[in-house]
Order: sequence, then C-alpha cells, then structure tokens
Amino acid sequence: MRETSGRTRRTVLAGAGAAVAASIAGCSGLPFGADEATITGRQLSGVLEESPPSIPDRVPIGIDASYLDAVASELESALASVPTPFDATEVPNGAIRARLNRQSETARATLAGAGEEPTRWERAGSLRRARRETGFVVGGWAAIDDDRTIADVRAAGEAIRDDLDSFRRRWAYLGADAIEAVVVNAAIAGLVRSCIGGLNRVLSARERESATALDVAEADERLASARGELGDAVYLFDRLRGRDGVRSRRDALAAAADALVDGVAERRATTGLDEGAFTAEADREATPAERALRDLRDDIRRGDIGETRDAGAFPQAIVEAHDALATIGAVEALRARIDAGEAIDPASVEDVDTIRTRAREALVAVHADGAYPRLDRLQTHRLAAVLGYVDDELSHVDADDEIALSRLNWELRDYVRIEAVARSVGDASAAVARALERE
Amino acid sequence: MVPSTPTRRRTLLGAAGALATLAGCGASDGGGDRETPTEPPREPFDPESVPPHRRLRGANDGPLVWLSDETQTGTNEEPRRRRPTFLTSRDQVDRLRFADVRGVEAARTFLEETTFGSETIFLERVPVRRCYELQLCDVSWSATEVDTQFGRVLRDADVACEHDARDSTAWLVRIPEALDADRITSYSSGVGGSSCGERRRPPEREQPITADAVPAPNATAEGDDA
Repeated sequence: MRETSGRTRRTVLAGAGAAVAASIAGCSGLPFGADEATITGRQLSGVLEESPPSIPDRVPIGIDASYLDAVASELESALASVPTPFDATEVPNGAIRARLNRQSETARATLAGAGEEPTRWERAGSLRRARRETGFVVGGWAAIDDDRTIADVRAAGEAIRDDLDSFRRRWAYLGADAIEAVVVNAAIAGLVRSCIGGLNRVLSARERESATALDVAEADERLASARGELGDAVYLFDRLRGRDGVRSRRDALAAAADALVDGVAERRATTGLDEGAFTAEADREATPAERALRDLRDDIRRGDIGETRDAGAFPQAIVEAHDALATIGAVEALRARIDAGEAIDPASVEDVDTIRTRAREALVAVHADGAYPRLDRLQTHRLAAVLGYVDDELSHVDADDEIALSRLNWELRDYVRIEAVARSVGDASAAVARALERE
Repeated sequence: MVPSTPTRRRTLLGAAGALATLAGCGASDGGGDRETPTEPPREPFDPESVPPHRRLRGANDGPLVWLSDETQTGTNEEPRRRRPTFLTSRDQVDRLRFADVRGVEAARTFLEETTFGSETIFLERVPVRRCYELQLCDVSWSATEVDTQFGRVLRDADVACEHDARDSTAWLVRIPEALDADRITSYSSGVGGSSCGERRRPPEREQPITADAVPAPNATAEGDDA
C-alpha cells in the first residue's frame, strides 16, 4: 500500500520562517522612497512624551490584604520546600534541570512582583500566575523525588472538581446593586471558566510510557492554576455575600441581558454591520482610520451574545454587550469621520502626534469623567494596556533611526481604535446601566 | 519499476523486531566517545509503519558511519560529507567505516542481513541534544526522493546530560526496494518536538466537565433572601 506523504515540510517551513524574518526586519530595515514621509526614533520619543494613563484592573469590592498575604505565604512555603536551584546530583538530566530551575526563578520573581501590583485584584492575578509556576516546580520535583505520577495529579484534580461542583451549587448572582452583580460575577465567571478549562486538561491527561518529570510538572501546573482560580472565585463570592444590601440580582441581570441582546442586534442592523463579507486582506493604501474601522467591524460580527445569554451566563452576556455597544459606537464615529473627510492620512510627524494624543486624551477623559466608572473600566483598563503596549513598541526605535510612516500602519491603527472606542465607552455604559435599572 | 510518487510502507515485516533491537544501540565507552546510554523509543506508535532500522549514537560531533572514500585526504579516513548515503551493494558495505561506538556489531549484522538487489540501506546522520532521544516516525520514498521524519522525547530525569551538549546519531534504514542512488536527487528530513505517538495522536477533545461557567441549575442561591 502506498500513500502520499507531506514530504516538503522542511522546505515550506524554511520559506515561512524567511518571510516572517523579512517582515520583522522590515520594521526598520526596509528602504523607503525619497518622497516618503518618515519619522525618527527621537521624534517618536517626543510623540510618546506624555505617559498613558494608569488604569489598572480592579473589582469594585474590597479584597482583604490578609487574604492575599496568606496566599503569598502559602506559595513561599511551597517554593521553600523544594531544594532549588537543583544541581546535577538532584536532577541529572540537564534539560529537565534547566527547565525546573528556570521556572523556579520565574515563580519567585512573580511572587516578589505581586506585591508591586497597583490593585489587589491585579495582585491576585499575579499570585495566581505564581501559583501556577510554583505548581510546575513542586510537581516536577515530586515526580523525581517521590514518584508522583500523572494519575496522582488527576486524582487531585478530581478533588478540585468536587470543590468546583460544590461552589457552583451555592453560587448566585448576588450584588449590592445590579452593576456590582454584573462586574463581580463576570469576574467570578472568568475564574470558573478558566478553572473548568484547566481541570478538563488535568482530568483527561493520559498516562504515556514516555512521560517524564516535566509531563507531571505541566499537569501540576494546570492543577495549581485551577486551584488558584477556584479559590479566588470562592473568595470573591464570599466577599459579595458580606456586602451591605446584597441580594440576588439574577432577575435584573436576566432582563438586562435580554434587552441588551435585542439592543445590540438592532444597532448592528441599523449600522449595517451584518452585511458584506469579512475583510480578508489589508489595503495598503488604507488610512489608519479605515484600518481601524475595518477591524472593529469584523470584531463586532464575531461572537454571539445571545448564546451566552441562553447559557444563563447573564453577567458575561452583559459585559459582552457593553463591549459590542462600545465597538458599534466606535464604528459609527469612525465612519462619520471618514465620510466627512476628517480621517488623518498621516503625512508628517505632527499627524502621528495628533493621532496618538487623541487616543491618550480620549482615554484620560472617559476615565476621569465617566458616569459609570465600574462599567467603564471593563473597557478602559484594556484600552490603557493596549496604549501602553503600542507606546512600548514604538519606544524601541533607536533615536537616530529613521523609518517610513507607512511602517507604523498597525500602531497608528491601534491608536485610532483606542480613541474611537474610548469615546463611545460612556454611551455604552449608560445603555447598560439603563438596561439594569429596568428591574 | 519503482514509481516516482513518495510512498510509505505500512506492512514491513520485522519492523517491530528492529525497534526492540534498537535498545542495544548506544554510544561507546572508548575511543574518545563518552558513554551515552540510550533507550528504545518509548511511545507505542505503530512500529510497522517504519522500515527496519538501526541507530548508533555517539557523544561527538563527527559522523558515526561513513564510506571510506568519503574522506578529505583519502588516507586519514576523516569523513567530509554529511549528506545522506545510499548503500546499494555489498561492496559499499565493505567500504563502510564506523566510529568506535556501542552497537556497531548489531549494525554490521543488520547490514549483512540486508538483501541488496531488492533492498537499499539509507544512511542518515542526525544530531540530537544529549538530553533527548530521537525516534524514527516515518520514512517515505520514491525513485527520486527520500524523506524521514523523527520524533524527539526527553530522556528520563536520572539520565546525566548537559542541556547544551549534542550527540551524533546515525540511522541505517532498510528500504525494501532496490533504489538507484544516482536517480535520487532530493531528500528531506524533519525532527518534531514530540514523540512519534504524540505526532500521530489527534488532539484530545475529551471534556470531563461540560458545565458552563454559571451557577448550577439547582443552586441553593445563598443570599436570595438577603
């Protein structure tokens, strides 16, 4: 019997790698025409002079420092229980040793850095990451030193599964008010979702003859992650229960989700977002605004809020609707700007500066003046993170390097998008708040 | 007549035996080569999907098997070529030279048992990091092309090795056809990052927990009355 084999894989991969390398090199290495507008690294530094606003993620209920301190202490003890850095006597295989030692250093650094996070919610996130990294190291060492197996990890996963079931039976959409119920329960749902995903990997892990200590380490990493996510979900829920005026907001959230699913569908229809094909290829001549518009339009057509609502995931459906409304608002604003001929086609350093300044100022404004800061933050902390990321990318251009403005298409598109979404966040929050007040 | 379309032979008698014998193919403890114990492929992939083969492994950068005329000077027998070699006759086997590594005798026996005229030996050299083991996952060939695909697995935690060190491996693959070496103008090879078994296994789709991230339907809803 004969069959065709994919025999040219190496050639194909080599070609792909070369293309990617050329693309990266192109950021600063490709020549530009004599009549093409350019910008130097020094000029970019001037554009980036004003820092992006700091809008860290937070949940609008207090997280006790003592809770986080206890988590940090537990992780420190776990890390102290393994004799890292391992030497060749403890872990003869250098590849396994290097990986465990590297992950141990990472876990310690994450743990140390968690205390520097700007909010307790972000600190909790860092601690979950540290727990995951610690789980890898402790699990890998247990496999080497104590014959821990995939089956042992799976058994521990079953125990967490029981805890998860127990939590889901007592979990309810509580809140001191409806917005609190949305924001905090959406955060809880995010943790539960991650926990389920990780546990599924742990519980379906198979025994393999070739399993090494690193396979056990990776399974333990997922187990630790699931444990941390469930622990924080339980903590947040217990905090909610202790709030003054707390009660179930399920009916209000269900009604709001219904209204918002319909409202988003209407807006999509009136904006004509359901028509036309997805954009396949970038237009090289497109302005940053046109690129941003195209991406936003494609984004809004993905996802199905109705499906989320139908699953009973009302907080998530409302958060998705908030995102959709902000995106639709941004599409409308960008479309109007383009139709009016007001979209900037960057041709100078000043144009770049204007595009970036508008993004920053729009974000600062909604963060400072928004009527619904708890809802606004669902978007603004992400927008601030993207702004910081793009700034960081541009800051890597050496002062004396000169690059064509056309090489900044993606970055300028992101700035335009940040501005457009930031300007429509307030309206999206108001629409969500109205839906929640209908109770 | 050998077709020019690449093929993979699924029914190759003796392949399982070849894999079992592979356990003994290792590096030498003399001649400048440090002892490098090796294990057999540990993944239960279908062994009959690859032709019979032997593997030599040595803790050095040089080739482990070469034809005596593949030399720089013709006298010092220092090999100069790294490209794959096809052995199509007993005469070529007689001109083979081996580094001083463990498993050479098994390799010689393997070659002696090869029926040139209806079989061809494909000799390939593949470097490998010392903390890893290679598995031969797939061999395909036509009259003009040969392709080999290898899997890579970590060796056990108690195998002493330095992370950055490299070994050489030489693979003698018995292709059950009489190939004309002069017609073979193309060969390719790939080393995957996982074992042969994992390369062939479809993604795990098992979902022991199918619940959504929502309260359980029969939740007691603490706080309803709060």
